[in-house]
Amino acid sequence: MAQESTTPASKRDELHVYEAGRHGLPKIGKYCRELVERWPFAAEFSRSSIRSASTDTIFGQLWLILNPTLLAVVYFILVIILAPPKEPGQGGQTLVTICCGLFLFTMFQGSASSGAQSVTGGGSLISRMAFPRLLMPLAAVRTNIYRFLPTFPVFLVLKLVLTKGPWGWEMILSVYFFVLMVIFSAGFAAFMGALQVYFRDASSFLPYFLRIWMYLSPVLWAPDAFMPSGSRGNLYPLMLANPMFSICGGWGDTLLKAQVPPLSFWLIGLGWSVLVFVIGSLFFMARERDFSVRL
Amino acid sequence: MISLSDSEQPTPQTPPKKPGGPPAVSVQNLTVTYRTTFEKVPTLRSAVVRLGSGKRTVKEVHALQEVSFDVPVGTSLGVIGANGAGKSTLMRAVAGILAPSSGRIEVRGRISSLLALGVGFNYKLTGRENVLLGGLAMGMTRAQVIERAEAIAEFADIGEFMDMPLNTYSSGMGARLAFSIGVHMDPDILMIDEALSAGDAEFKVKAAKKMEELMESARAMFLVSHSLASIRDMCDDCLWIHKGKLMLHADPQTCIDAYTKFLKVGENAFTMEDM
Repeated sequence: MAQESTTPASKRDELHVYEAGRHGLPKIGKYCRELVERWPFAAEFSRSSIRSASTDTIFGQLWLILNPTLLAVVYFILVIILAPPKEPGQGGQTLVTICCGLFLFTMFQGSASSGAQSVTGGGSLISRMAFPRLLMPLAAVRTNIYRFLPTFPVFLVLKLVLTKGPWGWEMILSVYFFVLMVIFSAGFAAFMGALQVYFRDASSFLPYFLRIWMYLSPVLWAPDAFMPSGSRGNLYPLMLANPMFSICGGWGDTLLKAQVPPLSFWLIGLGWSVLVFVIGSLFFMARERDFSVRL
Repeated sequence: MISLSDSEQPTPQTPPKKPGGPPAVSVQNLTVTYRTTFEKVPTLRSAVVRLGSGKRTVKEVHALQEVSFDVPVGTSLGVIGANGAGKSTLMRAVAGILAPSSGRIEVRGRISSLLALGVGFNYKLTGRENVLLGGLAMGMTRAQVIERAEAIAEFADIGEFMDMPLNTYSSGMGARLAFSIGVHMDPDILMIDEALSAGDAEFKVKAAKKMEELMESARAMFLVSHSLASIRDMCDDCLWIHKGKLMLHADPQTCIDAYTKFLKVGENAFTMEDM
């Protein structure tokens, strides 16, 4: 909503103006300010959805860890059968590699699918309340960050037990790629959330799409072979077209190898994240005035 | 009850009470047109299937056309009209839920809306959690909401159900809770859509009393109701909307008379001169 507030010296004199927006877009600055002001609502919405899924209980937390770990084991078996380890001890490394990428990608997957449902699922809130709708997909992303967090120590423990390292300060750099993933997820979730209003079956296609995307990204495999110096380096430019190649690649480089990722991962990952976030949220904002009559 | 304006001379467009100062709500040439689909569930599949046939399933709804009115501070405004007249669209536009297609709405103060009753945000959550969510969505702080939670529960008279999931509530309890949330959010502008049908006779009396009390602190109140009697009792200004057009803006009695006459004689025989 295009909303103006004069300096709220007194709350009562706060003036709200609702007008038709230009190109359907509300005024960005005001919209962002509203977003920040109403963030407690998104946080509470996310907290309550975590509560209602009882993930704040011990067994709920355990399930959050167990679920992706079991998934990692499934992929591990698949990888072991397709490419049996050549030397003993390599199996452990494979499992840790899979956990590393898979846990992060699960966060993205969860954000995308719950973001897609966030608008259509928030029916009564959206038809009865006035607030920046972008809070809905953002709350979904927040929920999935909190679902990801308990899995991270599991990865660290597995790495400690199953591999010989390496460990180093470079691992802290993974925070950068985590942030990129969050930004990317937020943009993607907003896009899917708006799309879902118009095509209610979009979320049925989404799991297949996300599964294919995962196989094409360095989640279950290391990106080395596709780097310019690798055996299939000719595919490198093509790989960079996949945002996940840079983001998951950088994530794996820092956490698994404790090495500083190549500059291309830093820059191209950032570019993709910002691009997807801007496109996704602008698309959402341009469409959000339509939501209350489309639900 | 709020003083009836029967005795006052009907002066459309300039309702009595507290002149001077900017109006609490000012609606200027408001037009709301939206495109909606008449598909039950819009899907990609049906969109693809439709591609070949060239059929369109989107239709334009002219919900409101060139509606203008001011609501001075201290007014309680009744809105009447047949089903589908655009009453709820008007309320949602003023509450900022629906964007105008053209025109301008100015609102001074915070709106608490009780639109199409029911709190139900998440039926798995308790009443208290829903109250918190609703309050935060309205833009209150967490502390403000928690402070009011007890008063809300007490007014709604739901007792220990406050800490039970919403899906254990009877429909009356849900409606009472919704009403209670709306009136306890210190609204500057209170908006009630059919809320008086909430709860039993006893609650209705309590609700009416509470609204009267609120009018002393609130800047304005909107009441949308099919109950003409409650409009007459509670409002001192009235809008009659028909098919998206503002037919009459006058005191409640004049509006109600015109509306009932209109309902009796029917649309075809009706002309504006009849009033």
